[in-house]
Parts: sequence; C-alpha cells; structure tokens
Amino acid sequence: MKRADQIAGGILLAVFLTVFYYSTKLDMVYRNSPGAGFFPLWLSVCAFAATSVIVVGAIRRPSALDRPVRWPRGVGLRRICLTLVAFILYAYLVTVMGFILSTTGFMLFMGRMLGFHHWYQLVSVSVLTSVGLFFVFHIWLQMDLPTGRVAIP
Amino acid sequence: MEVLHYLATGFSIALTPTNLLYCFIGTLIGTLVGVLPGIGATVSIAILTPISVGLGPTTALIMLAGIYYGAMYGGSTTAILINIPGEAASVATTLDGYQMARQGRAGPALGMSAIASFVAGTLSLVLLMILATPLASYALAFGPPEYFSLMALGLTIVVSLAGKSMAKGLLAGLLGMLLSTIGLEPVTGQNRFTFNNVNLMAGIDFVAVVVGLFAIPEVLENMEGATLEVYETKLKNLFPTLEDWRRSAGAMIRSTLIGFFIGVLPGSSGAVAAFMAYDVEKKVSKHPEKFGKGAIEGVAASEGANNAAVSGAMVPLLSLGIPVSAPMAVLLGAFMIHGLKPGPMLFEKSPEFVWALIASMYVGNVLLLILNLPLVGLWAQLIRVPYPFLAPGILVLCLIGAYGIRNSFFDVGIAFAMGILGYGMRKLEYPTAPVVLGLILSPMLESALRQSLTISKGSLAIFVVRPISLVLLFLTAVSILASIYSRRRKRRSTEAFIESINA
Repeated sequence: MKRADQIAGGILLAVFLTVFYYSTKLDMVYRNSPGAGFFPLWLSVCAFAATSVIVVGAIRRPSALDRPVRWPRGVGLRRICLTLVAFILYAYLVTVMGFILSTTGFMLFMGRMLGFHHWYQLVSVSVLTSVGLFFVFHIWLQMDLPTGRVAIP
Repeated sequence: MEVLHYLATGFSIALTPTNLLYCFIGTLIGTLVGVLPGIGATVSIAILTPISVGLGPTTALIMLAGIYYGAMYGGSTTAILINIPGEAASVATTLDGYQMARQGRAGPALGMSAIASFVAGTLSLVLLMILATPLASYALAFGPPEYFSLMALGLTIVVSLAGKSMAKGLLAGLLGMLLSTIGLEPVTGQNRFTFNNVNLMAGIDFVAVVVGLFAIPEVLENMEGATLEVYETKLKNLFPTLEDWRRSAGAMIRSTLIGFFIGVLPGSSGAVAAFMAYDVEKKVSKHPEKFGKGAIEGVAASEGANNAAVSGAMVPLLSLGIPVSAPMAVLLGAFMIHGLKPGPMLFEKSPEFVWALIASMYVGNVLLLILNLPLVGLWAQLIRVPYPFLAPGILVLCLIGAYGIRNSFFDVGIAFAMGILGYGMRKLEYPTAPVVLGLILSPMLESALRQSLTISKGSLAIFVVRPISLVLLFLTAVSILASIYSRRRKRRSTEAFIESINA
C-alpha cells in the first residue's frame, strides 16, 4: 500500500497541478464576484494539499505497519481483462449490430467465460435477457436504445 | 379540526375508484422507474404529463405525484441487490443494503427499506399538513449564504463516509466536486476543462458516474476470486427480525424529520437528505463501526429520508409555487397544464384538490407497501441467479443506464472510465461514496458561494452576520469536531486493546 499510495499520489498531484494551471486561465473575477476559475482553483489547491498529506503519510509509514494491495492475479486478472475488453467491444458492436444481437453475443461470451457450460441454457437465457430488456426499456418505457447500422433493433 | 375536515373530504375524493386506479398506476410506474437505472422520475412525469391531459386535474396529479414517490420506493431495490442505485436518492442505501444482501439478508434489507419508506412517507405527510404554510416562509428565508452554509454542513458527511483514512475520504469528495466543474460554467458560459470536446460541454452526467463508480467495480472485484460466490450465505429470513425493528425504529423517526426539513429547501434533493440522515444515524449509533458493513438502521435512515423529502418538497410547491427539484419542476408544469396555479391561493381556491392530493399520498404509501412487501421474496430471488448471468446482466444495465439519459455513447465511456477509477479506488482504500456526494453538492455550493459574494461585494462576513447561516456554520464546525473526536477515541481504544493483548 505504501508504494501504491506514493505512485497514485504522484499521479494525482500532477492531475491537480494541471487543474490548477487551467483554472488560472479562466476568469478569477466576474463583475465584482468570483469568476469561473475561482472555485476549481481553490478545489485543486485543497485536493493538492490532501494528496500531499497522503503521500507524506505513505513515505513516513513504517514498512512493518504496511498492508499489501491485493491486486488480482491469475484467473481473476484474466477474467477482469476479458470483461473490460468484452464491454468495450459490446459498446462498439451495439452501434453496428443493434441492441438485441450484440447483447445476446455479450451475454453468451461472458457466461461462457465465467464458466457456464450448458449451451442450451446459456443461449436461451442470453436471448431472453436481451429481448426482455429491449421490450422493457424500448417498447414499454420508450427509451431510446442504440440502433445498429444494419437497422436491427 | 378544520384540517381533519379537509382531510376527510380529501380522502373521499382520493378513494373514488378512478382516483384509486390512477394512484395505483402512478405508484406502479414510479416503482418500476425507480428499480431501473437510467430512467428517472423526472423523465417519466414529463412523458406522462401530456397523456394525463385527458384525465381530470385531480386524477392526473394524483397519478403523476405517485410516480415521484413511487420512484423513491423502487430506487432501493437494485441498490440493495446489485449495488446499482436506481435513483440518486438511493446511493446511501447501497452502503449497508448491499452488504446485507451479501450476508444473505437481502430480504430484511428490502423489507426494512419498504417499511421505512412507508413510515417516513406517512409521518412526513402529517408534517406536510400541519406545517405547510409556516414552513413555506421559513424556506423563503434561505438566501445564498444560508445555502452555502447548509451545503458546507452537507459536505461534512464526507468525514463520516471516509472509512480508514480521513485524507482519502476528503480527497474523494474533492474529486467529485472537481468533476462537477467540468462543462459550460452557468453564469458566464465559459468552458471549464472541456478541451474543446462538445460532449464535455454539457458536463459529466451523474448517472454515468454513479453506475461507473458503484456497479462496474463491484462486478470486477467479484471476478477476482477462484470461485464466483458473491453472496456469502444462503437467503435467511425474508422479513426484518425483532432486533432489526428495535435498531431501526429510532432511525425511521429521525430520518423522517431530517428528510422532511431538507426536502422543504429549494435546491436540495432526496440524495442530500438520505446522506444526511445516514450520517446522523452513524453519529448517534452505539456501534458506528457497523455502518458500511450491513447495519440495517443505515438502510432505514437513507430510505426513510428520501421518502420524507418528497413530502417536504411538496411544501414550497403547494404553498408558494416553488419547485425545489427537477421532478417538482415538471410536476409544476403539469399543474399549469391542468389549469391549477400553485401558490398561497391554492389552499383557498382549490382546497378539494390540495387535500385530495395529500390524501392520495397516504393511500399511495399504503399501496406501495402492499405492492412492495410481497415482492420482497421475488426480488430477493435475484441473488440466486448464477453469477455468469448476473455479472453480464449488471453490465448491460450499466450500458443502458449510462446511455439512456442523453442517448450518448460518450456517457458510456464516462461510466467505463469511472468503473476503472472506482476499482482502483477500492484497491487503494479510497471511499467512492464521497465522490458522489461532492458531485451532488458542489454545483449548489459554488452557485451559493458566488451569489453570496456578489451580494456582499466580496466580503466573507456575509456568512456569519446572518443568524441562520451562522447557526449552520456552527453545526458544520461541531459536526467536523465530533467526527475527529470520535475517530481519535476509536483509534486510542484500538491501540489500548492491542497493548493489552501484547502485555
């Protein structure tokens, strides 16, 4: 945790410095009152201070009192990476194939990846879920769901 | 006595078969939109307002109001079961409700949520009847300095939500506040941190942030283990036990009062009320360490407060014609469409309508309890769905929720980025709830600060020379000091315990 806090703190310090810099480019005063940059500038100063406290605390913390960060490994890491990639692909495919087809595909892939091996159940649940969600959100609640380029709902 | 006479008249109108049917339809739709993320009460009322023109004004507004408070009931369901708050007001419910579900206590959490909503909804209506007129003038006494001080008080909840490290909690809150500054600045129209991206000009959507910070990290974290056992035990009792009742009774009363009085204030929301009630409950509890780990009184507090806030929000709407929130603004539009002008004269000119609406809210609360309690068992079965289906189902709901508000894939991208940020925050022990709190309170805080300093020509003295503002700032200081004292005491007792073991 000590090292992770230091690295994350370093990144956050850079982010808040950037916010501070861009805030100074905005108006600080507007008609005798605070301008658009006033609030984010002070927020970035406070956030910078809070991050500094975390980083200094991490540097001063004795290693004996430190707890390691439990990052995912092995099968867990593989599952997380595949889920993130699948979600990005799914979000893209919705714009191409439409909601029903892409959701069915996503459910099938995820179910299989997470260890569900009964194909019959997997296919039926995936199809029913995507059609059911389409019906509830689009037909019943009249929400706009993404339509694919191939004009399939 | 006059109030009771009017109320009796109101009930005689609200209980006619037609009004009863539309009250049921309104609460049912409200529950549904509350359960489903991405479609809120505001949109639903807006969609149904034109359809309601064919109905009489009383029937129409009974239905539309039912959608609003029904959504508050329904919002807790997905918050408890899968850690996705259906409404912003249910974010605080996820903190303990989801933990209860993981411990096999989804049933009592859902049951207590429905019961607390009913109790708070009903008690707050009594407050609405008695205090509508005097409270309306009290709400008007709130100017920008008072709002600033109130929002500052609200932000002290961050300390309560901070978890192990105060600095990390504070930083998370500041991160949420900075996120809210992205987009077109409302007063001058200047672009802030948009980097010429058109999508960013409209700001960061709240739903995308909530979905990303809560649901996606939960799914990712659940995938880490070798087995996909998310819920630790099997479903236990479906209804709250006597001990649950004992622990939650006080929370329901306190959250009713907090929710109602916060709801009266323009600009506040059910979410603010829920967070405040949760914070108060944690402070008065003998076991604050249990909060965030499945304390049922935390669920009762947040759900009670967000329902009581609806009745509170009715005070300025009916008495002054001032909508205090987005759903109330749409409801005000519906009043106008139906030829009713909310304000001081509404009680004089259309008492039958006003009291029928209030009576219908009593009826609606009973209908919602009847509707929700039997469904507890059904909803609780959701956690029996095998995780290989539940996980992608949650992610599909995330996509729909994030996309649905503005029909934008940019928001899906925001939800995805927030998901990764939220996952990293969990790993590094940063709490995520303060981000949401900062995102909710910051726009109001900034606007109140700027208006106050405009009025005072830059003098900060405006915050201490006005009595209400001064009292609120005093409460802010007390809240911070009490939290620091409580944390120090806890740390000392832990150290003493460790020393006694070592000795």
